[in-house]
Amino acid sequence: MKRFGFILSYSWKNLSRHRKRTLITASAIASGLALYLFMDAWLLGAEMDSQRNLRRYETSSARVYHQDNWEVWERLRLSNLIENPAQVVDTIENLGYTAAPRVSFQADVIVYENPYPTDGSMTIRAYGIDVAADNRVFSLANFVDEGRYPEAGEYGAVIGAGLARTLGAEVGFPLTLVTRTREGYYQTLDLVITGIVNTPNPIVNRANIYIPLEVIDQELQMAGAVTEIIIGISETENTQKAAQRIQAAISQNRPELQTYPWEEIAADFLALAATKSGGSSIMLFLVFIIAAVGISNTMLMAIFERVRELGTLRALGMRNRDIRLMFLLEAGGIGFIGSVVGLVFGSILIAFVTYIGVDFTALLGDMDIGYRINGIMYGTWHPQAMVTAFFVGIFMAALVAYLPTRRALKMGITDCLRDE
Amino acid sequence: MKLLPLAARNIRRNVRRTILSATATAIATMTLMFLFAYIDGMKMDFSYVLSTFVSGHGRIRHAEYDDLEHLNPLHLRIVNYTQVIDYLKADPRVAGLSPRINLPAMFYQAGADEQTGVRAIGVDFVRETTGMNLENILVSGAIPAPGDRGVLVGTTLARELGLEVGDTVTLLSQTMRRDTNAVSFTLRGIIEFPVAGLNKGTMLLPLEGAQRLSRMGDSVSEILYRLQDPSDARQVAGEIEGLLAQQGFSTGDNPLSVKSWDQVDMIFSFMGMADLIYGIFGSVFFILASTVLINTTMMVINERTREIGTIGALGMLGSEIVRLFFLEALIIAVLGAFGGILLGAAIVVPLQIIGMDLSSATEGMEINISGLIYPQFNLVKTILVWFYAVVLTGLVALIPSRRASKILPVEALRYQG
Amino acid sequence: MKYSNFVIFCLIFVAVSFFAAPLFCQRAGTTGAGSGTVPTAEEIIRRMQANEVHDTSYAEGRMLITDRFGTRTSTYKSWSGGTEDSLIEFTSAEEMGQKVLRTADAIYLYYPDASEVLRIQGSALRDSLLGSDISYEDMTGGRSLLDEYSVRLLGTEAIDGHQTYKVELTARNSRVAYPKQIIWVDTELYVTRRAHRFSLSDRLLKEMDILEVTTQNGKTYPTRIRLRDAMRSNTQTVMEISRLDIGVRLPANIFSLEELSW
Repeated sequence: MKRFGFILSYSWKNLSRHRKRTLITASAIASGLALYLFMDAWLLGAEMDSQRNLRRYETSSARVYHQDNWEVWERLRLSNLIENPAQVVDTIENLGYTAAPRVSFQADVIVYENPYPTDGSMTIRAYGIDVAADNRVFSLANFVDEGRYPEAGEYGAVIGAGLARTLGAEVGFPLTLVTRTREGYYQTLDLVITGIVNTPNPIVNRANIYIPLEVIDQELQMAGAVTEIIIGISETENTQKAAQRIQAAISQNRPELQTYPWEEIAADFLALAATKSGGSSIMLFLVFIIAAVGISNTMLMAIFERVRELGTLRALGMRNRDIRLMFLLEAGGIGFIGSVVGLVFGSILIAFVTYIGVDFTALLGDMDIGYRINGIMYGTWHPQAMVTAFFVGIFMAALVAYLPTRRALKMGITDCLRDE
Repeated sequence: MKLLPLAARNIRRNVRRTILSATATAIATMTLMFLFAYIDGMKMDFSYVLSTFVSGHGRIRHAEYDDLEHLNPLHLRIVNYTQVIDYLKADPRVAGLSPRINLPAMFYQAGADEQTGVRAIGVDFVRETTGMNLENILVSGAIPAPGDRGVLVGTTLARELGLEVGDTVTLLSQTMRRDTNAVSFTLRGIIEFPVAGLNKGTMLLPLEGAQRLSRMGDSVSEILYRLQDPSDARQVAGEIEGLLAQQGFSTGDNPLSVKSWDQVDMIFSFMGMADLIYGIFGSVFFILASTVLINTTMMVINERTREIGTIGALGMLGSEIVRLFFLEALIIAVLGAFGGILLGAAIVVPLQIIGMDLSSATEGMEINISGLIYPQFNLVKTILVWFYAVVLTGLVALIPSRRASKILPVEALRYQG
Repeated sequence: MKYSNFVIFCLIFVAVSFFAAPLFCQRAGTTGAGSGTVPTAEEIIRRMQANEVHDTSYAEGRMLITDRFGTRTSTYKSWSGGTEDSLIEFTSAEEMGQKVLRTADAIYLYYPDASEVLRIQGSALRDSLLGSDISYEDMTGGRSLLDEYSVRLLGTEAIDGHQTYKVELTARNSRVAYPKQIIWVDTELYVTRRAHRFSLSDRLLKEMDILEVTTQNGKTYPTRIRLRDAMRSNTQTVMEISRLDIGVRLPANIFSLEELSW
């Protein structure tokens, strides 16, 4: 043990003695690590972005439907409804998730010149939402750009920014919807725009209107029933498992209902992901190669330059085993320093791209292609990658140091001493 | 003192170090080259998809169509399209022409409560056999013969609707006069568009069939054209618009407007965004590759500080020392980078021919990116990469060697490295 | 209130009722001149339908459809029989050969270029006929108004110089799309002069104005009708009936699918 302590301290001293070499080598590791993590965070962020957009603003983490409604839910018909939604919502919330009832339906929105720029009409998706509970699942209220969220029972509506732009609508303008009730009667809704919502999801912004559930329940003759229940599950939890848990709890009382995790709901949507793994893996692989080359190169050079030193140590009687250990410890030490610095810089870069992001909005302008991407691209934290990279940095340094060390130990001592 | 032979000898003397530096340089250069080739390949694919299936390099339409596009204004059409095509065919800049009719339609399914919406595109199958490379993307069946009321359907759509070759396809659509019409077609073939989004909802109809369905007579909604050289698409578009007016095809009653692809499709602006993203990634690579070069060089200098001291003590001037090391680094960089681009070429050129299959990654995407990427070898970019590697290495070599050369020989000799 | 005032009040009440009674008395009115008695709402509707709804008929006419892009004309022939069946065949050049068959429970479309007859059901019923302001759904029902709606007489009103009874119809069940309608029926001719259709929150959705009526063989029916979507400003559909033969003998199986695809 004492010997180990000696070797350890000797290695450590070597590191500080050959500061330049240590720094250069460590910086090779650090830069490789930092940039790899940055790229990875960004690519992952891009991939997650579209999915996140989908999940946070459209599908929610999971949903409950009447099982007969599953195939046709996106057609927005008022059939196969969920009666007594409060019971289901309670069950879900007792499990620790957030839930809210919704009525989704199709309607024509009609506007008239004065105050609008011209007469117009459009088919849109409308949602009756529980003004309080909905925000526990989605966070629309956070994105109300202008005006405000409607209050429970108010004959008001929040519309997407894209829709507002298309119609030329502003807060305070009247809005007329033409639709059908649950019974099948034609119905018109006269509402006032209380707010305009601008989410990172262009689909939501383009054709959605949100109205307090009480109004919808009354005007559409819903008799308390809803079309779906949206559920919020934390992003760290496995949604499939959570959905199963919820389903188990609900099916006791309500066997006709079915819980679907967002992946299944999203499968029906058109766009799912940004540049998927195919393209980005290649990029990351290339970065890895360059980083690996950089690290190996400097490590190898460092070791090769010290063959003479190694020979001296052998001549002085140090055991091969100890020498090897010492060099490995040094290499590991360099790896450690490099990895730490790399993590720090990497984290700074990741933080930049995750919280500030890169702003493409100037380029995109009025893009509206059904692709769920935001004008600002964000990265995302990938702790798994960070931990892996950290250890890879140390391990690679040690590994790369091992081979030439072994080779040098096999050489004759005098050859070592003579080495240049 | 003749530095060059000294430099050369130094290089040969420490083979290991030389190889290490050279290898690092080579690999850095190679990856940079591959990256650019790959990015170019993706951009090219994007532009191919766009120009073939979406907007051409330019698009000719009735001047008022675009404003009312969401209402599907079939009556805003090109009635003299055959003459326009004949005229433009002769233009040497034009590589291909595609008359088209865009028809949002409903696929009639007996007994269904809801009909399925499809995007029906009326095309000239003879032209598109080359234009869209139809034979290559035909999965089953055949291209409808002229005069046949046959359609081609994307694979995903065919699967969703449960269609097979030979089935009847009845489409309901709004006509030019905004009433409705239905026409029955026969499914002749199933195609795998290189773009997942098109597979999901597109049917190709024969031009006459689409005209019959929409009752728009012998006219089309738009003419797409592809250019031999798309780089100045916008200017060409302006010129073509002028020519059409000049030749009397575009009149006051029937005005035609020509838009280049960057003015047409939103996806094009996405390409601009992709460009920027690739640029950023490229920069990351650059930085990384550069750090490798820098690191290598600095290590080399560092390890040879004593040597610097020695030759300094032997009377070599500081400036000469700098030049010596600079030369050494330069030679290694030149050779290493050259090796790198050879390696890079060895990878890129075969891939350019075979292509890289990323199709499994792009399935389910709506956006117009296909699954097959052909990295593009570009001589100019390759030489630039080589140049950059050499210059960067040289510059970096200057810094520490300058510093080292300023140290007193006695200090340098004492330096343990 | 003092006893004496109360008595006077009662007397007045009785007197008024006595004189008012005839106004609200049920009496079968005859066609033609107003007899001074007011029919019930049900009566009014029944007599209107006696005029306008026929056991069998054959008609020819045309539709003028106006939208933001202009006006277009389509001509047609139609046969109707029983309470539910009707067949429309379009004769204008653009729609030549197109047919619409309506039976008790479904609507079928025949297009010359389609190899199958299209059945319209579900939400497709809300689509419009020929892109006009008439939806397929509007074409269903309508014959049994009194079955589907409960009726109430609101009073009288003059429309374009014609006196009309204003009748309010309230849906009994949700088999109909419009929960409320108001129909103005000519007091003399018992023909519809105007009809309004409302949403559940009482907003006017569709307007129908009768621009011309014709009397033939004792029956008076509309021959020029204008329909408008009250929510949108620049569309309308005008139907003109140029010929109407009532009580004709219709070919057997005329309302069958086989006949449709002929």
